[in-house]
Amino acid sequence: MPLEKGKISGKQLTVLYITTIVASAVVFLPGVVAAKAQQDAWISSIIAAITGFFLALLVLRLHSRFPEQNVIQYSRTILGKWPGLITGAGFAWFFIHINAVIIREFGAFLATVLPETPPVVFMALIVLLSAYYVRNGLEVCCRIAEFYFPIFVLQVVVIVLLVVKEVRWQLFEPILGAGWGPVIEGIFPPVMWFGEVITMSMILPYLHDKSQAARSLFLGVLLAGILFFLASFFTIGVFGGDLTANLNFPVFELARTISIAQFLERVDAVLMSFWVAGGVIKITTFNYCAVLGTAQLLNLSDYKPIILPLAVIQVFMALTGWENVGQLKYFINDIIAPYSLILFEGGIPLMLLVIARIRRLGVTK
Amino acid sequence: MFIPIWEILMLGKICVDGEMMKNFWSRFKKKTYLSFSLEENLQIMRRILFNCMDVVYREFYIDRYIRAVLVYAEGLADKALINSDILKSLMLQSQDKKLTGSLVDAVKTIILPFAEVKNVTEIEKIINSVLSGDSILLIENCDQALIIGTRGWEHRAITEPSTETVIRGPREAYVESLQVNLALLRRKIKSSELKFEKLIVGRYTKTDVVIAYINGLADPEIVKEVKRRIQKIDIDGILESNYLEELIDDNPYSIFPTIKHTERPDTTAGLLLEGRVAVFVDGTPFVLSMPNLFTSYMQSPEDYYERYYISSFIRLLRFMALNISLLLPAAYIAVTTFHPEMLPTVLLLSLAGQREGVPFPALIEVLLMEIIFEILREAGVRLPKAVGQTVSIVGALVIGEAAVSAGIVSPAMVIIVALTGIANFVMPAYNAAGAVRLLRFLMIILASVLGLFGVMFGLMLVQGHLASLRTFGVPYLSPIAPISIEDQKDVWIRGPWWTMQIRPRFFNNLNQKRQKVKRKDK
Repeated sequence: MPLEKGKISGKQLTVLYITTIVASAVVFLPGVVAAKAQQDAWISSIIAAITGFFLALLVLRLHSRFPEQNVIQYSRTILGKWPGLITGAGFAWFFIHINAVIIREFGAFLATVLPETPPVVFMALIVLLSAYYVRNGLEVCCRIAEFYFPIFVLQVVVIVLLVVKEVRWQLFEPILGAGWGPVIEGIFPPVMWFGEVITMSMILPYLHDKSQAARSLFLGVLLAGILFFLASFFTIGVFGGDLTANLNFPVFELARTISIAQFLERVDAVLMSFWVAGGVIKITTFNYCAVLGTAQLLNLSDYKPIILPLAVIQVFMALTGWENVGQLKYFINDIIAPYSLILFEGGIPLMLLVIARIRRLGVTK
Repeated sequence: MFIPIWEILMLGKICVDGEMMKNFWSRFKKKTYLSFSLEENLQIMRRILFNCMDVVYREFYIDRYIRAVLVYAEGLADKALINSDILKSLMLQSQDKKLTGSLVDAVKTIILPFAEVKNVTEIEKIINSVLSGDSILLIENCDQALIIGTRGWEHRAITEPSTETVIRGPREAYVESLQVNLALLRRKIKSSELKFEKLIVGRYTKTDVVIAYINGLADPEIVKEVKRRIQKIDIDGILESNYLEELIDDNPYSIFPTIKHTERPDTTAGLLLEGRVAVFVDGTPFVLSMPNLFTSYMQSPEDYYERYYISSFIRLLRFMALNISLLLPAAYIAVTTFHPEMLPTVLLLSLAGQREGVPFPALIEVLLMEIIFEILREAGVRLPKAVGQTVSIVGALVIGEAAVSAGIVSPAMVIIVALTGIANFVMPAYNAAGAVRLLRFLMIILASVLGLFGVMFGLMLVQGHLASLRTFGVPYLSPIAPISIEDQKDVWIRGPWWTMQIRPRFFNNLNQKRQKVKRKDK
């Protein structure tokens, strides 16, 4: 019996992907990229989006070979029983680990808005909410993403429109002042975000119309790229490279500069609410992948019993993994990028594809 | 009669399983039929209808020598019809008629000038028809009786709807009589494709339930499912359609209603044309329709009768009102206690000034006022009409004005609570508005604990719940999630009629096209 009986449409896949990527990318990434590439962060963001296409292509190639299987299942098909199991376990661990990072990020983010509440409260509530969604199945997760997607895109656009008059063009100069080196260095963190397309390899088998897979995924990468580019371009334009690099949540600060007709000042708390929604959806996606993957590894007939235990583990990992936001930022900037990018988002999928080609496994045209 | 031993051993299971219980007992129950002896038939009927003083047995002779008895229930059967048509034609005008063949058939075909006459032999059917208002003619030496349709009891005249009033649109509403209600609907849809299927529910009330749908528009699977669920009901009585609503609901634990009720025939007709199924219950003016989506609680029949600009504006207003009635008190608490920096300084100072003498924290203040408002509102509904309005106005004025001047609540809070209460009335569906009314308290408590984050958390919890609901296989939040761009024209706004080329997609329609001519072709 399949673990997931739901079917989703191509549109839902696009929306889920964008919400998953953009939710945290827009909040954290401009600062992270600017730390490396300074005022050229926006160039990095474009190149990162292009790299994102290739990562999506990788996932799609694997999907077209094994249309009914997800990454954990086909790694077993490709590599054989034990190596496949170990790789699959690696992926499940990766989803749990990344989710812990995201949970901590959002906990830290909310703690700046409501400083008197201990962050563990936020983390626990967000994870519980996502566990509730996961319990209701993939279709419900997608519907939630669909519900918030328009709000989410709209608010990025609105922020951009409202701060456009604050942009000081001289802050972009000198373009490529330090050469391509820093720009290339700044690519890695956002590519990691785009590489989260690997979560979609868990969801692609449940696509109702398989022929839409490529179109919806590429559309997702394109739109996410545009949103991310807007976010980094305008944070640089308003704050400049140095300041953006030093801000924890630059887009949030961007929203704080908004003042509409002297009445709606500092709409940041409202935006915070929407970002929480985006964050919950992102955490839900990872949570879903982790739960589904773990259930498949353990050969369970139902994934519901492991939702709560995994939620507790993730909150615990998020809580104890890093001492403070500084450590978290260091971890995201310097450690996790190579680890997740080279291993799980790019390296292993590529290896799987190559081995599948050599062994002529799966559907070939 | 042989009962296998294993069935007796399984008695414990039988008691649990209603279906099996029925099978079990039907072996003992013998169907009784009429015999040739009139005396015996009457005896059986009198035994079953023991102590039913409203049942009348009128003995007389057909054509002076054939003994017959007419049985009817007083008040349910139309006495004028019985006097002038049945008795007169049988007793006085039957002499000159030549009775050939079977007596019962002869009476039926030659003597009785009635549209509705049926032969019966089963006692149970006879009893049911007497109690539904029909008359039974029992004739000597016949093992058949005649059911004569004389149903005619007092019912309320068709009036204007009292809960769903409109400015423009039809003014008629359903009444308590099923026949009248079906006729009202048939008057709107004169197609042979409009089907009425009758079921009887309720062990004691034997309520007529009619499933109405348009063949070729409604999904046959949904029709079948509705029928299956209604047939499964085994209850002593159905007094109002809500009994049925709760018994066939997909999500019995949900706070949101997934079945719509209306007292307007035009609403039902519109829903049937979208491919939905309606369920009429005898004895209530409220007709159910399913599957029902969350968005249809934001739609009023009037939206379709007014020009689309104003309708669209009103519909957007309703969504705003929904948000106000769900979130305003919560947002007020969250902003004033957690995020005061969001407000302009002048407003903040004025609010702080108002709250100066108030002894309670904002949460208690809101809860106090909300509960008082709910009490006033409920009292307004229950009070006798003559005093109701006076008492509620006085109550509101006294409590609003005096509470502020006594310094128990701040004036801003009175505004918030009043606005919230009024906004709740904007939602056209009373039952959905009730759900929002209750969820408001959840939001208030979450906001007072966690500020705007709490509000967002509550909102996402509610949305997760809504997204997980399905009603007869259709996702409750469609066409918003899963999104159907084509159907958005009848969600947030009411698109002009010439854009409504196809029916809503979410019911898996067989026949998508609604109109043939595009406006620009004209």
